[in-house]
Amino acid sequence: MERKLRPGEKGFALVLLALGIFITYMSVGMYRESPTLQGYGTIPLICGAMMIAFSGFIFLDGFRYKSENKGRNVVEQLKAVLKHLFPVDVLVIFAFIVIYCALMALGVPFVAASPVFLWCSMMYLRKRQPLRNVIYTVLVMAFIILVFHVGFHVVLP
Amino acid sequence: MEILTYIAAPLLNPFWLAMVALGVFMGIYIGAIPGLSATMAVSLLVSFTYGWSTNTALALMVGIYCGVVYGGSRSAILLNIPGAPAAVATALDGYPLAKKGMAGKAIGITTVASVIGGFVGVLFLAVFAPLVSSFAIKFSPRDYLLLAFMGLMMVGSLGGRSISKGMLSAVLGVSLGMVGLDAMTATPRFTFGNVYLMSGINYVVAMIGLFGVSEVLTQLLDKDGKVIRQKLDRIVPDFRDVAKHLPLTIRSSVIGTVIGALPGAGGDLAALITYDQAKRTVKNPEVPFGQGAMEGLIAPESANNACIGGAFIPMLTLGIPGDSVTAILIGALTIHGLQPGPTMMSGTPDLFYYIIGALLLANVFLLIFGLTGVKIFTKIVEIPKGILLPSIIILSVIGVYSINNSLYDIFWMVGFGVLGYFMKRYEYPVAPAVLGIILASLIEKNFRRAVIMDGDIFNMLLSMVTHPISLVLILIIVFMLVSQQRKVKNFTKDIEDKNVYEAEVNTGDPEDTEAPFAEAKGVFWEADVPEKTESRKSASGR
Repeated sequence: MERKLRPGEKGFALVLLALGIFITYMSVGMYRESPTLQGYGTIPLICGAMMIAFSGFIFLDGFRYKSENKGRNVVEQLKAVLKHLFPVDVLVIFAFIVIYCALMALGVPFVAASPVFLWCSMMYLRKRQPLRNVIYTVLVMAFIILVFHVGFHVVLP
Repeated sequence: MEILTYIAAPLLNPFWLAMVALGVFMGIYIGAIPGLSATMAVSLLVSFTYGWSTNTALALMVGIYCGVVYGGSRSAILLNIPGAPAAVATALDGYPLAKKGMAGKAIGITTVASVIGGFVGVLFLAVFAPLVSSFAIKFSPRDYLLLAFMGLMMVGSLGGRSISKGMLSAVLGVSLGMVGLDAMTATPRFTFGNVYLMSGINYVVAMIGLFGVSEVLTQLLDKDGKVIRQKLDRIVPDFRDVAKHLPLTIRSSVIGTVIGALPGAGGDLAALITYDQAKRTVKNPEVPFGQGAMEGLIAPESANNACIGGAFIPMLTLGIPGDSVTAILIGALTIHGLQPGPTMMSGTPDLFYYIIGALLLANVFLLIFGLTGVKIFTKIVEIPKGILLPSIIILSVIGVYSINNSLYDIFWMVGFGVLGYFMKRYEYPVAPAVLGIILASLIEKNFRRAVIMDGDIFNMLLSMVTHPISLVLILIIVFMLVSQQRKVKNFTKDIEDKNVYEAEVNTGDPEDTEAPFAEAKGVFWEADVPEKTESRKSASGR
């Protein structure tokens, strides 16, 4: 059976191609300021050019394969890409991670934010026994604090 | 005498001894838990051991490395889920043995084979590394540039199914490594006026994001994977069994060490190749391969542990990593003010022999811990992902924060985690990106030196074909490029397909043999299953 491209696979190559073009554009500017081979723009320029070459090749090579998105309209294609990249579990846990980091950035201490993150994630992923999850949360936190903070003297956020 | 003192150092210092033991112990359990890899464990450790002495940090990391590679076999045998890619081949015969009620015997023989493999790898490291190192002193900046390129190319191309995706990942890494102030002129590059970016992207942050956070997100796609518990009996193996299979163990270990010494070729490749080699050379196994043949366990397990010693050879002598874990170890040594390479052997021989001593000790502890504590083990490997995955996020956060005590780093880690997750979803290997970040400064420094020494780019390119060492390196690169693209890729794919197919035929249970491959290759393989089945059908037709 022929390999099928995943939804968004060519798009991802295109994003990397755009990144390569951007790096090259920035590097050309750097190279102009110091137009020697040992200048600070040379290696970034080479990297940018190589990124363009490889991502361009991957993008073009993608046309050899059928895509799972073939025959769908743009909205359906976009939905398929989002579904492929962000299944509900990934989206929810990723949201938890972002909220957890934001809480710490807002000044909530690690010892307060982490148990909340742990318990909420466990509740979502295990979908049962809130009390048991409280026990697991306490155990994990105790382990982390004892081993890393007390044992290894690691500074906690 | 002096060398023996260096080797014995981790044995004579109780703290270092304890660190090796702790590392092996933790490594076995980490390796056995599907989803926790040696790369992730060691990259997290780099951040925690930032402020430690080099020897203490190395003792723990070496222990973990050995433990994780071995630990992967445990879950492969007991649950039919390899804890690490290097244990994929182990599941093919290990799980059928466990189903026959011989899980204890399988674990016992696997432990002994792993330890023998480990010792053979260390022996090769001790003998050949000084020879390679004394030769590598003759290398010029131009040769280092070629070596760095070779390392990137090997990790980039052997790690995944597409050489272009691997190379793109490597180039992306080098580009990220360019962010910050230029080392020579202090001119900001890709910083966009952001003060945080002036100091560059911390590769430990990138490493934990790309390996840790992205793995958590990827594992969520298969969070409900069920495990089947196996009964365990006596695990200390019969001496006659060990003696009977000793020639195969040694042979596989030697092959494993050589494969491990090739930059970019890790334990997974060594295990598959030696499994295939065992199938070809063992004429009359007691049980057919795929149905619980002891030889099918011994060959890959001795090879993947022997790989560790092999992987250290290019890392310590040339500064080129043998696999992704040694790539991280290069970063760890750099943090501690050391630059792995030929000068390291002459400048700090104590550290080289200390690593050998630590590896030897780790294998001794592997034998002890491998043959004990199995009852607790079965409980630990069954930790639900619902508890495990959020805990990894917390560990990653602590690890990243501990580097600079900066919350910015945590956000960068999350960003790298998302990038790594996207890359994994579309089959771009992440290890070359990390290696690219680590090697970026080395590449740029040696490129500049080579250009200055040779006058201009044309002279530099010309000298690459007129100087013997450079010419040999170029020929090796060309050979690698051609052979990887055609022979090796097809060879390993054929072995994989053939082994799975034959195991299916032998066991008559396609579900049992599909699991280890799907798990080890990551869930993005889901869409490839029909293709794999199809290729197996065509293989049977041949």
